[in-house]
Parts: sequence; C-alpha cells; structure tokens
Amino acid sequence: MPPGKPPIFYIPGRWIRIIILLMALALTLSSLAAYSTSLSLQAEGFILGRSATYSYDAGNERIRSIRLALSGDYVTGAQAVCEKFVSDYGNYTVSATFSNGAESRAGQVTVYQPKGVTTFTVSVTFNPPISYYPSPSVSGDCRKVG
Amino acid sequence: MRALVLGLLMAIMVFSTAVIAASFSTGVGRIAGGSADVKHAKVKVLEVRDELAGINLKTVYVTLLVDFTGTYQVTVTASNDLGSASGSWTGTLTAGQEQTIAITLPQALKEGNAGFTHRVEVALL
Repeated sequence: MPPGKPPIFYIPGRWIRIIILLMALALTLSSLAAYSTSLSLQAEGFILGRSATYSYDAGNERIRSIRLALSGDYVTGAQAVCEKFVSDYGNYTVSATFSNGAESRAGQVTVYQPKGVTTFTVSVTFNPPISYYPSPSVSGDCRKVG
Repeated sequence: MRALVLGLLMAIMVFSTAVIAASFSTGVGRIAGGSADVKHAKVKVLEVRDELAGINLKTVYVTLLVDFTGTYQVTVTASNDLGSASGSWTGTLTAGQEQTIAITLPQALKEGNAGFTHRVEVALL
C-alpha cells in the first residue's frame, strides 16, 4: 500500500479497478432498464378484446350495422340492419359470421320485404354460443334471393 | 485523484444497488399484490353502425361494454376498395354500462364496389 493512502480507497491491481468499473456500469445500466420497465408497466393498461373487426358486404343490398347478442362472454347471435332500394321487393337472405380467432359460427335468415321498405332488421342465432375472445371479428352479408 | 475516482465508483454502485432494490420491490408489489397501477379491462364491441351522407361514410357509431371504469381511446379505421379513413374518440367509459360513441371520420370514405371493413381499437389510458 503506498504511503499516505487511506486503506479504504486502496485496491491493488489494475484489473480489480477495471472489474469494479464494469460492475458499476452494469449496475447503472440494469437499474435504468428496470426503472424504465416499471414506468412502462405503469403507463399501459391490459385490455382483453382491444380490437374488433366488423365487415359489411357490398352490392345493391348492404349491411349498415351489426349488433352482437351476448350472454356473458359468449356471443349467442347477431342482429343486422340491411338497406335495400325502396322500389325493390322479394326475398332477402341475411347472413352473419362471427369468429373469435380460434373458431367461428355462422347463421342466416331469409325474409320477405315489400316495396317501400328501405331498411329492415334481421336476427340470426349462433348455435352453440361462441366465446367473444380473444380476437373478435364479425361479417355480414345481405342479398336479394328471389 | 485515484481516491476520487474510486470514491465516485463506490457511490455509483451504492446508488445503483438502491435503485435496483427499489425497482424490484415495486415490481414485485405490482405483480404479486395486484396494485392498482396496472389496469386491467375486458372490452366488448357490441355494435358498429354506419351513417352515410349520400355515398359517403361520415360517422361510425360504436357501442362498447367495459368492465373497468376509466379513460379510453377508441379508434375506428374504416376501409374499402377506394381507401381508408380513421377517427378517434377519447373519454370515460363506465363499467357495466353500454355506451354508444359517435366517431366522425375527418375524411369521408366513398362507398365503392366492396363493402366497408371497420377495425375498432380500444386503448386504456
């Protein structure tokens, strides 16, 4: 130990000093990483069902809205609103398909609509019910069949 | 000089260790204790309804059901063969109550040969 040096600050050898320096740097970086991780945990909320997709058909008759019927977390059916030309009449088939990313259900109903009607609502049932999660998507189609 | 450098290094080490200890204890408390800092929510999009002005899609009504009262951002992106348009809404949604929000698209989307596809994205703020 050199004369005049306090014992607490005397560490022999260059490599020991380098190791201490590297340890200090590693500790500083890891603490910053841990702190930023905790900040991101604080800022974000966890959402189940954070996105959903609704697809409506094209053509002379078009779906304008779909409303899901739910029982808890299960989808039991869908209610679709179809728009048609006021002068048209006949039988219209409305179909709806729901998928949760793992499995899907489909249903369809055919109804007669007279002249003068522009929008009508049809309900389809999914049997058996299907879980809404994890990746809900629903599509609807409305078309004149006769 | 050497003493100063070594003293500084030791101070950094002590500070870093303290920060790590604090971070770990906070993190463990959050995960194991279910602290309110991490928000959890189940969201259901119950209905998507289009409102057109002529052949232009201008407003999309979205009905949502959440199980956690909080501030949410809801973004709707409507697309078809002619392009896409998106709009957002930010506000409070109350747990257990169906709420319909109107999202006006800043740029109307024309009806094309394909129908509309809507992607609804919900973020808890």
